[in-house]
Amino acid sequence: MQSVLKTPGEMGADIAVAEGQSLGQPLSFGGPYLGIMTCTKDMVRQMPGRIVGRTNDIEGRTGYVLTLQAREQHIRRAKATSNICSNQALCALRTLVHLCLLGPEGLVRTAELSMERARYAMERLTAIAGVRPLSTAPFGNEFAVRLPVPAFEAVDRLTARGGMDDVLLVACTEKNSFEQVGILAEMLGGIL
Amino acid sequence: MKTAFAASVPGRTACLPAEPKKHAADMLPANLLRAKRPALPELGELDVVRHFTRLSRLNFGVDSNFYPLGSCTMKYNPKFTEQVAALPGFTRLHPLMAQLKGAVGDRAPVVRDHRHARVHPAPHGGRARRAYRGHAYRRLSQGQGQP
Repeated sequence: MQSVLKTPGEMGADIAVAEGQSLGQPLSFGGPYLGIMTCTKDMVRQMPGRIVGRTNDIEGRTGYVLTLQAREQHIRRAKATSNICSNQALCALRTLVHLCLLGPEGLVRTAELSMERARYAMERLTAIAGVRPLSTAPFGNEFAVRLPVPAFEAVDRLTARGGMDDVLLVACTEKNSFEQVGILAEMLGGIL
Repeated sequence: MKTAFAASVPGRTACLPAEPKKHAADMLPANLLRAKRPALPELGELDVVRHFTRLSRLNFGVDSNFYPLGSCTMKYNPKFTEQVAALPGFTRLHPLMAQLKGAVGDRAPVVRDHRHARVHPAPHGGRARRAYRGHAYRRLSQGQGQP
């Protein structure tokens, strides 16, 4: 969404945090995910974790280096309230590749496609009797609706729908041979 | 080693989703929209592949060299655990699945690896607490929702 929205800085924020899972991280039952934190320059020394700065060496070449090394982990040590871990680098790399592949146009399209679908969902859901939008404020790709029953109950009823116990889903790809399909048919015929 | 921006050419992209029928300006008030597009490099697939492959060759790590220093991520994780962690049955699992009645239950995924008896336990009628991680685990440990 940030690819189409005004930046938090432009909206007056000093600190902004975001969930980065949608930038290329798989759902993975809750993690590992990627958090994004940013702040104004005057607060940067209070940011946890590592900060990479760009500078020039004595031969004038551009270099990247960990900077502002007075991190609380070095000073407060055991009393620090955050830690540094390299595991996040794997998630950061994955998101970086995702952003490089999509580019600005791809990211904007992703946001707009998400918003289109959310508006269609809002339209279809609020057409159901008893379902009302929680507010008329603008929304990105998420919105809330008020249901005539507790929401958890509605979700339980949706997942308990049933009637599919005797349904077998068959998927074929170019990696299945006709021979394999034949074997499936024969064996299924033999056990039914 | 140049940054990815050095290979950026306006209009290039490696992966373009379908063109949406509406644009942000049609769906949000103008005062919420950014004026400029995000400052990301515009790269083709080949540019991306070459950039990261070059970077990987500059890397010094345990996959190519002896690396005696160790933090938590460099300790003894057997290589096969990377394949297990990448199984689509795990990577495509939504964190809220644990809280949906009937969505997990006795059909929860069970992965057996020939070197280990069970990676993700799902005993019938039992509670697979050990398998949960991240958000789902926090909710469970806070007493919210049911496995």
